Amino acid sequence: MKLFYVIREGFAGLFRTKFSSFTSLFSLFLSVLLLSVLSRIGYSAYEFAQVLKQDISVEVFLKNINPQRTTEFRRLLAEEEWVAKVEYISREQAAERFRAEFGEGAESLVELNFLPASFILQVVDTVQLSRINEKLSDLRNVDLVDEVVFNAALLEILEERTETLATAGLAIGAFILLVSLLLIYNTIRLTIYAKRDLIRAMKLIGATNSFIKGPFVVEGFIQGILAACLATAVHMFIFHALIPNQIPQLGVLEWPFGRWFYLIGSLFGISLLVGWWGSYWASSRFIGKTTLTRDSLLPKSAR
Amino acid sequence: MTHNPIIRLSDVSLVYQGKTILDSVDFSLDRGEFCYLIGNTGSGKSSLLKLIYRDAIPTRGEVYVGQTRIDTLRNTEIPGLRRKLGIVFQDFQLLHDRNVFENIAFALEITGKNRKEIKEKVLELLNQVGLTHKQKSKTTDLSGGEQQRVVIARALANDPEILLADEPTGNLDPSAAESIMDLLRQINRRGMSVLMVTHDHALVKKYPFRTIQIMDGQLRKTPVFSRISEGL
Repeated sequence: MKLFYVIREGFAGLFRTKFSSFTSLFSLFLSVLLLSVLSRIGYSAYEFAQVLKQDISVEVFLKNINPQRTTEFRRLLAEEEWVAKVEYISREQAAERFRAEFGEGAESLVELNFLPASFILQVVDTVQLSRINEKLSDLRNVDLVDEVVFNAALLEILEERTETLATAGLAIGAFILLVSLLLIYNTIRLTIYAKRDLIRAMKLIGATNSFIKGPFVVEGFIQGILAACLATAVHMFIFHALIPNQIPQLGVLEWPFGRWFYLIGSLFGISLLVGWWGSYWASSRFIGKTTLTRDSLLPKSAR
Repeated sequence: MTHNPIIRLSDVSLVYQGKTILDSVDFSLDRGEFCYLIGNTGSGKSSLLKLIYRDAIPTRGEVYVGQTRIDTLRNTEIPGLRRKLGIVFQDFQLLHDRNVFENIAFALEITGKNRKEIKEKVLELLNQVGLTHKQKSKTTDLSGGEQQRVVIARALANDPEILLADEPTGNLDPSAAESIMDLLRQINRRGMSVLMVTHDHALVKKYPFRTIQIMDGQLRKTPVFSRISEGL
């Protein structure tokens, strides 16, 4: 019966103080929506950076060597932990590419047959630039290698930007979460303050603080669920209807880690946690301080 | 001195924010007794009740309800104490977003009773205070006297041993006040101890019970009310 009462009162509380309930619900909804939008855009930006990173390859130009040594060298390169893929470009293929790139006018140059054979290495996208540079200086010392070409500057910019984006995203996310927690704490505190007569009446009849707290916590939990549902609906609208319609070149942005439930699950988790914790925190502080009479003679330390 | 006290204050002093409110007070209330506490505004009569329902802690002395010393209770034990007490205030402290029935029922919810038991008990209490026909009314639609009856019914919901009433007729017209006094007297006749704070001397005169006067934080026995009534 007590549990039934706590749940029933939790639901009823939403409607008894409509305005303050709406305020805390709305602030929670906005916070989780902002977080989810930020996460999805942030993840897409990260993915984009990874794709760009994959396009940056290392070209290892070889001296004139026999095919046997080339095959052996290829095997050794493929075994390196920082190398994702090795592609061999023979002198003929290099000439072919050159021709394709520069057109008919390039024929005379191709005939000179000056283009060396090379390996194109795709770098594992999690490897740091410093590690690649280290490995490349080792590679330059190999007697088979004529020259190593690598666009370190572009990778450096990409790494820097990705890092800045991740740090900024985390900071903004943490800030939104903190602001929303304070906002929710405050609005729930106001909701609870608006119900001080109920709290007094409950204390009067001998209800324990945890019993009084119950409906407020249930109410916070319900607000968390409602805020998460609303935020999910608006999130879906933004990313699956609004953006593909208004900015078709962006299309539907990728879900983080390729599955919808990671982001939506986190959104529900955070919303429920903040709703529950905000109401628990506010009710614990306020209910304890509410005395039976307005002119209580209890010292503050005993409340 | 009474012999079978349900409330006992022994050498109690209460100092709050540097002001002495009660000074070396000894008081007891017998089981089944009706007692008035009278005195001027600020004399300390409501503060004495606060000591009993633990909205104040004595600076010195001991306070007992039954066999339990309550001035040393931990905060977690206070709800248990309050369930033994029915408390009625001058301002009714009703929940205006609930009807009469719900206002009484919610006092029973905390005890974990089922819906059937709650309904039966609420109807019994409404019958006792004469408000069965108003069970679905909004509290704001009730007169002051009726609202106070609902408060009394709520105070009785958990079968307390003592009823503490702080100026229960303070906001009522004379006829409503008398009907509340009739109700309190009925409750007392059924065996419940009643300790009532009032400054309505006419009521005290009309419904004579042991009367204690508080003056400057000290108690004065007034065994015969008629002698002191003119003096206040």
